[in-house]
Amino acid sequence: MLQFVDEGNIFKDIDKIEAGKVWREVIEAAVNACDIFITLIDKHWLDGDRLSDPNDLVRQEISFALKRGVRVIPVLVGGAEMPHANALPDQLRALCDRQSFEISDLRWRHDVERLVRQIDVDFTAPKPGPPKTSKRPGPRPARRPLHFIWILDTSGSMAADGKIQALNHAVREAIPQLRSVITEHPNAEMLVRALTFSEGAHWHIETPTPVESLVWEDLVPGGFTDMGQAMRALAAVLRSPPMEPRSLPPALVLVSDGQPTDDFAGGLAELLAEPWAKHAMRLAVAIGKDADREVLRRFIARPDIEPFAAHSPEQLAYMIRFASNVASRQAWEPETADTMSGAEALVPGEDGTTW
Amino acid sequence: MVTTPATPPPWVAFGASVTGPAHAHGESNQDALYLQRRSADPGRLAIAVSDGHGDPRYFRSDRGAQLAVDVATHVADRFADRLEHLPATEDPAAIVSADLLLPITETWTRSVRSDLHSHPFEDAELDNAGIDQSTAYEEPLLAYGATLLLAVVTNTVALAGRLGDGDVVGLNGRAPAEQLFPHDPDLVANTTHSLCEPDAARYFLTRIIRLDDCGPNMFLLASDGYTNSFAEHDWYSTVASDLMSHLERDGHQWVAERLPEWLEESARATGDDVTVCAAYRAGLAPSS
Repeated sequence: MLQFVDEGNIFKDIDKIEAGKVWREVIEAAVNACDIFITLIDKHWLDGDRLSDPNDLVRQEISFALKRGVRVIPVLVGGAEMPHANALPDQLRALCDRQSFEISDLRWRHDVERLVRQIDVDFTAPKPGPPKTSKRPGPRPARRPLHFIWILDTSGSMAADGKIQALNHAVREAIPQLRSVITEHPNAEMLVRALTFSEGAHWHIETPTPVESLVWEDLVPGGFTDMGQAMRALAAVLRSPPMEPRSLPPALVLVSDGQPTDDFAGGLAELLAEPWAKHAMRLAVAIGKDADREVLRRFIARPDIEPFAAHSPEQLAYMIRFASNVASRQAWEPETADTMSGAEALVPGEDGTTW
Repeated sequence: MVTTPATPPPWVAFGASVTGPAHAHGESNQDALYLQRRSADPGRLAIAVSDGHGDPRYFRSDRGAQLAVDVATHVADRFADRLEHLPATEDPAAIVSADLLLPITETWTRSVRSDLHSHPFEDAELDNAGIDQSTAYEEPLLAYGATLLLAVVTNTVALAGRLGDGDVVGLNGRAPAEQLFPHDPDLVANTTHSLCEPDAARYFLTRIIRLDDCGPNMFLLASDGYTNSFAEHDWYSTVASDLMSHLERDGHQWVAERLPEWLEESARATGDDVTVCAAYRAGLAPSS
């Protein structure tokens, strides 16, 4: 039989009880676990008074299998015939109601194969029961959130040379790009926020907003460059909670044209102490020649990634689009960051206004 | 009258694993599970789930995951007797560490080295991963990186273990389900502990649970592909109680047949490979 059935699926009472185990318990448990119970009956099966003894092992295991409703197959070997019900104790009489199976000494292999085939058919045959489609356990599965945050400089200097208008235009241009990322990766829900810093830090879009329904309202410049406070405000939302453990790595894009006027180092330390911020994809765009690139490098905190430089409205639009695209793809395409070194070669030339 | 205590019903296992749509471009399922009974004793069972990291750096993590579940269930099955007879006078944590966790991590490491010896890194897989030969052989275990979830159950006591992400849920039909290991706040944004780390055994979390009438009669191991597909923080509670209802009404084979279909829904939601494996024994139905 072992040639046809995996040994692990057969429990044989005479050799599978380990020394020291209580055989009654082991057998009861084995019968409980089985789908088919085979009892071999030869010509001497009824010899003596063995089956009259309530403590007899064979009597107990057959009785237990019958009581539990397991499919019991009496297999007749060596020319044995099915015993008459009157010859059996009450607990075993139901055995006689079961269709027996005969294995002849002359056709041993053939008969065993036939028995195995029959068992196999019974295992694989569809069982009556509820329809195949059924309600899955638990809540409805949902896409994983991908938090995308723009951190935008709205200090007074952004009012000069059309920078704030260019920034508003650039962000508007980047939104369709973000939507296309999600079209390619439908297993995520991109939730967008925008944080501005000037005199303090303020949420321009505070509620994580699905990119599909994002509407951009223009930023208005004025005040200092409190980038440190922006780092602290970011740290507060990148804690667990409110961050959900199932979120994808967040994407953060910092855009600035100047130098921090507050405690940037303290704010950055607070931000990078948060595991979610540490594992976020952080990119930065430096607007014009007065931008503090060293501060932006410290925000990125990766030696292989430089801040992008934008010296014109066209370059700003391109860089914000590019940085937003790369940052938002990190969850699926971590190697994209390695290709960024050549990005500036693709930047549109300066056309008219330069910063 | 003397009565013999009833033998507890046997433990049975069921489980399934489905490939995430994000791996639809020819990548294999990076998860593995093991639920075959290693022992003839129906009162004893060891099951495991492993999630290969899947990132290009871990380019053999499907193999690493398969080795992890094979090794872990083999060691855990041998440990089952020891678990049932843990001496009260000794520190169980020390015994678990010495006799279960270290043997698992050490055997996994040996198995990986042996696999690598038989199948050296090929140029094509290194090119695909963007790693050169010498870097790959500096830390060869990295390519096989995988997590591990484990449950070994006996008639009287169970042990659950976790190395890395994923969840182990224990449930008794009469009490709320319990997430046996809390979320590690340092492991965010797809980061995880791994068998490929040096001293991996020290990142293993374990729980020993007595299986009296109030003890769990189901242990559910779920890869993070499954747990991440639910927005609700108490997802495990509804999943476990729904599963328990099905098990009590329809039986474990009925559940096993439908499990792949249910897991497909989770895989479609997150794109990730999804694997669930459970050990269950009947007989502790909720009191009416």
